[in-house]
Amino acid sequence: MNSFDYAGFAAALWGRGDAGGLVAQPGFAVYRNTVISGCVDALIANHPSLVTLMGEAWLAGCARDYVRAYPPQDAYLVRYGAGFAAFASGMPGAEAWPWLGQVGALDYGWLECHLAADADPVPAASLAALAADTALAPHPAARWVWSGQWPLWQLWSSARSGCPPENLQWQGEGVLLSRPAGEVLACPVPQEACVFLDALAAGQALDGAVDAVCAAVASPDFSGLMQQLAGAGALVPR
Amino acid sequence: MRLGAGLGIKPQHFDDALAARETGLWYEVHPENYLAAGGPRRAWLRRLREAHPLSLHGVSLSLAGPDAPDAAHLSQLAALVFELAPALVSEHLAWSRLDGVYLPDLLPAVRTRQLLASVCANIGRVQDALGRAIAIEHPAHYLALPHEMDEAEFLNEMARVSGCRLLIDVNNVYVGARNLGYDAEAWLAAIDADAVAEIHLAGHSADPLLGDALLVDSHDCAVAEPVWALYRRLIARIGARPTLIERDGKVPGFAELQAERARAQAVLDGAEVCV
Repeated sequence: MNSFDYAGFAAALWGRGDAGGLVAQPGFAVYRNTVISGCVDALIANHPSLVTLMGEAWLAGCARDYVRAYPPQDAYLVRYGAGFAAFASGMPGAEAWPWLGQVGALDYGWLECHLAADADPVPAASLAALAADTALAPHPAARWVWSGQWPLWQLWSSARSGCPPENLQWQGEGVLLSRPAGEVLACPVPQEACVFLDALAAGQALDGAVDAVCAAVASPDFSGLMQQLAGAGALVPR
Repeated sequence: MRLGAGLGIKPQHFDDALAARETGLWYEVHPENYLAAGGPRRAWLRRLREAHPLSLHGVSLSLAGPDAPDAAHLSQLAALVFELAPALVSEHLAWSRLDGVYLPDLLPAVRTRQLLASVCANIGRVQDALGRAIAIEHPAHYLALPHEMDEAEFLNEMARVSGCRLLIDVNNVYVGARNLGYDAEAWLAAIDADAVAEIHLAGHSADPLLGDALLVDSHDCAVAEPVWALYRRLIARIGARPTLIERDGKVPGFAELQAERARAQAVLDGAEVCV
């Protein structure tokens, strides 16, 4: 331990106090700018679809507010901003886009998918041999979201590729993110896929997950569902 | 293979970096960007390591902070080091973590005997966890602080006491000397040659408001000529050392980075080999 006033220096980075007079030196601003822009740049880089939808200037304003309220807690800025999409969706200017939080959360889901642990998925070819009490789990990298209200897949996939969404078909849509061959793969999925993955994530065996789907969706296509999930590498043995 | 001139590497240059075959070439990355549990980043780094010598250059252990290095971060770093067996591992004489908040910069502290003791204890913790010596870089300076110890004296003693090596960033010396009015040549001349394990070269830029009165270690342009001159004289004095070209902003094409790297390699090739 030493006697340097770390707390005073850190507070002055956020504009509180003068760090024992250090803020009067022009060089202090270099530290302040680097800290804040490092956080803001990470939030923007981690949410590319929000940049497309709302513009970088608006998003940077949200990011500056978010950084002050929720500064990073560790050095892994590649995954900074778990609550940023929800935060941005509540900011002035976002009122007209009620789906903004869910679309932005998919950007964060993409990061989680990208960074998650490796695991060998259940191959699609072995599905036919699965017993009813087989214990499956979602792949550690799999992330999924269903919206009964908004066309999440159209909104997010278009924004993610840098194009503002146009000619939307207003229907409920789901999105699955997975890593079947190294890189992140995104695909649209029906409601039954998300219900099924929710059930597996809650610890249900195959038969329990099937029951959950039947309770939620009229006449689900289980064969197509299982082929899609296994094909996307979204399932692992538990 | 002896390490010559290397490059700080970005994901957009992965294919070019993997294929390059220049003598002495090596690459450096920030481990913080690769502490993922799995996935393509980690796989990318493994492939790079299979093809080239690698250096892990940490930015977040906060060795000059008031606390010991974060245990969870250190254990993840150790796992990466054991997996990749990099040629070099380094960190900074700076702090970036306080009360559970990460401040993404290399923040300064006042150089006192107390600080020297706490930094050496922190370096010892890291070296124990990694099972190897690390090199420590001095950051660029922008503030006049009431230091009790000269920076070169502090670094030399830190290396002697902790057993760490030194990573000398010639651009940081130049930027700090210009900002705070000290003599860069004398600063470099005072560093123990035997302690130097690695050298960094990078570009700096003038502050947008204050111009040349405040230089910023921006890493977003080519290495400046006065920095090359200091580097040549340093190598002439201490002999060849692994030398890294850093570029973190406005990153140009790989060929342009390779041309700058070749310039450093030529300086090293012209130096008497110093073991």
